[in-house]
Amino acid sequence: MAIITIKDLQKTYNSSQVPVHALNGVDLTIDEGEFTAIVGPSGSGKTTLLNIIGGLDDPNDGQVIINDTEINHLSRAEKIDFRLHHIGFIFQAYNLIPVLTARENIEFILELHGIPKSKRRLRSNELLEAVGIPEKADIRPRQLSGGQQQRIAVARALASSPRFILADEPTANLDSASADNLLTIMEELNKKEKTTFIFSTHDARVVKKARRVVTLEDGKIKSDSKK
Amino acid sequence: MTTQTTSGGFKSIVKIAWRNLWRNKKRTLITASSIFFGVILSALMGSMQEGSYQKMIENVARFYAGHAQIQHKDYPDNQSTNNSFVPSDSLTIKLNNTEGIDMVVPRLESFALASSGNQTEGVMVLGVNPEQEDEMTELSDKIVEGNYFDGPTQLLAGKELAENLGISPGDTLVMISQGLHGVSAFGKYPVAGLFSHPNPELNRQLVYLPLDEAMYFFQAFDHVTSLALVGNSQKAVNKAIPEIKQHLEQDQVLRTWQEMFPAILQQIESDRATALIMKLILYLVIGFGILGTVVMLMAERQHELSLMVAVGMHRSKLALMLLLEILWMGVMGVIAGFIGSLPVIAWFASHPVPITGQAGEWMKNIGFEPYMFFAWDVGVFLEQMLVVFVLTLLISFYPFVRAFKISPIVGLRN
Ligand SMILES: Nc1ncnc2c1ncn2[C@@H]1O[C@H](COP(=O)(O)OP(=O)(O)O)[C@@H](O)[C@H]1O
Repeated sequence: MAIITIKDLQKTYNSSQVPVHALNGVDLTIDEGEFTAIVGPSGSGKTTLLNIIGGLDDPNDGQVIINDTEINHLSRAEKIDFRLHHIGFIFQAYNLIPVLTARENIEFILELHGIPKSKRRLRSNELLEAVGIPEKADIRPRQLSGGQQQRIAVARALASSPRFILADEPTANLDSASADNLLTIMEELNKKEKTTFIFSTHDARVVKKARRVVTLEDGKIKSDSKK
Repeated sequence: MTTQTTSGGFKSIVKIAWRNLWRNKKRTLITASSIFFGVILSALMGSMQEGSYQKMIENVARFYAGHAQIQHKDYPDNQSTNNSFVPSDSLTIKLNNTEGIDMVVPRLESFALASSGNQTEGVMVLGVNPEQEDEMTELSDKIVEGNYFDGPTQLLAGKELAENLGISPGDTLVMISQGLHGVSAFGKYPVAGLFSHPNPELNRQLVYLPLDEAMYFFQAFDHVTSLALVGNSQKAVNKAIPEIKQHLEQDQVLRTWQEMFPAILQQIESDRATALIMKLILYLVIGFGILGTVVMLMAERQHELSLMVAVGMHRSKLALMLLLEILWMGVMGVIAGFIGSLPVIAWFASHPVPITGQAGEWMKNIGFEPYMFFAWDVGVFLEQMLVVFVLTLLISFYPFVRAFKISPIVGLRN
C-alpha cells in the first residue's frame, strides 16, 4: 500500500542570479515498509526532495500526498503537527538538542505528544536497547561519538512510531564501521517496527543495504530499481 | 490520517530553557551582572536625586516655613498685619491633637524701617516664640555673634543687615512701622545677637522679635500672621490636611510649602527631567548589552532551533522557551541588583558624600549644605527594578518574534 505519492514535483531556487532547478518533475510512490535509498551525485536534488516530502520546504509545483493528506496544502502549524505525528527525521549531523541527555532527546518527542512519563520511560528504554547503547542514556550529545549521536537520532526518529522516517545522508559524517553499524540498526528497526525508511546517501556500501534504490540526476529520477 | 494539535512538552521547554541559561555560564553571568550593575547604578542615582530633593524640601519646610501654614485668606496677596488673625483656642487644641502634626508654631510677620545712627534699612520683622522657633528651625545654632534672645525685649538681626546698619550685639535698634488698623508703631530694641542664615535674602532683611514684643510693636495683641505646621514628614502632614481644613474659620486658609514656594517645586521637576535623560542613557547602555547577548545567542542556536521545528515543536513553544531564558537572566540580575544595592544605598544614606572645592562653596552660598544626600526610599529601588525588568522584557521580544520566523529546514549550509 502506498503511503507516499509524489506527482510531478518541481522546485526552483531563485536565491542566486541563475535559477536552480533542483527538482525537475519527480514522480515517485513509496509503499509501506520500504527501505529505500535515494542516491545521486551531490547537487542532484536529494535533500530538496526529502525536505519537500517532510513538509520542511514547499515545491513550486506538483504534489506530495501522504496517505490522504496533501502535505503542502497544510498551514504552517498543521505541518508541524503532521511531522510530529507521522514523520521521523534523521539529519546529517547535530540531530540532538545539546542540553538534553540521550534519553531526554528521545523522550522529548514523546513529551510533545503528551505521552505520560512512565510510558515514555518504557519506550526510551526499548529504543536505547534497540540502538545498542543503553548505557549512554544519561549522557549529553557532546560526550557521544558521531556514530552514537546518529544512533540516538534514529531512536528519537522512531520514538513515536511514525509512518515513515526521512534520513538525509545519515552516515555522511561517520567512518565506515559506524556507518555500517547504523544501517544495520536501521534495517533491523525497519523490520521489527515495520517503519518505512527513506534515506539519501552517496555511500556505495550504504546503498547495498537498501532494498530499493532511486537514482536522481539533475532533479529527475534516472533509475528506480528494487531488489 | 488526522492532525491533532499537541500541547505537551512544557516540562521539556522549561528544562531546555533552564539548561540553556547555564550553557554559556560566563556570558549569562556577564549579562546578568550588567543588569545587576544597572539596577544598582540607577537605584543609586534615584536615591541621590530623592535625597537631594528631600533635603531641599527639608531646608524650606522643616527649617523655615513649615510643611504647611495657616494664614488669613488675604495674607498671600498682601502681607500686612491687617491680614492677620487670632487663632481660636479650639483651633489650637485641635492642631495640637492632630495626628501627624508635631509642632504648631505661631508667627507675626510684617515690614518695618529700622535705623541706627544715620543708617536706615527696610526690614522684615518676624515675631516668634523663642523656644518653639528654636525647636523648629534650630535658630539658636545660627547665632554667630552675641546670644539667642536673652530677654523679652531683645532682638536678633541678620549678619549682613547688622553690617549695613553698623550695629553689633549690645547696640540699640529703632524701628518704625504701621501697626494693626493703621496705628503707628514705634520701638527701641537692644540687639541680643546676630544670626547667619543659609538664605542670603534673609540675612540681609530679617529681624526676629519675641512674639509678645512683636504683638506689642504692631499693636496686634493675640494676632498672628501664620501658624506654621511641622510634622515628621510631608506625607504625614498631607494626610492630616483635610481634617485640619474642617476646623478653619472662613477667613483662614491652609497653604502647603509647595503653594508658598512654587519655584522650588519647579526646580525639582526640571531636575527630575534632567536626571531622567541620564537614566535613559544608562538604560540604553544596559539594554544594548543584553540585546547583544540575545542576538548572539539566536545566531548560535539557529541550527538547533530549526531542528526543533523540524521534528514537530511549535514555534510558539520555541518563543516561550527563549522568553523564559531571557526573563530568568533578567530576574536574576534584577534580584541580585536589588540585594546588592541595599547595603550600598544604606551606607550612602547614613554617610552623605561631602562636596568640596568650588561646587561646595557655591552650594554653601546659595544656602545648601555642601553634601550629596541619598534617600533610603524603597520606592526608588522598586522603580528601578521594575524599569530594568521591563527593559529585559522588551528585549526578549526580539527572540520571541524571531522564533516565529524560524525555518524548519535544517541546513548545514547556513
Ligand atoms: N536554499 C537553496 N538556495 C539555492 N539553491 C539551493 C538551495 N538548496 C539547494 N540548492 C541547489 O539545489 C540543487 C539541489 O540541491 P540538494 O537538494 O541539496 O542536492 P543534494 O542533496 O543531492 O546534494 C543544488 O544545485 C543546490 O545548489
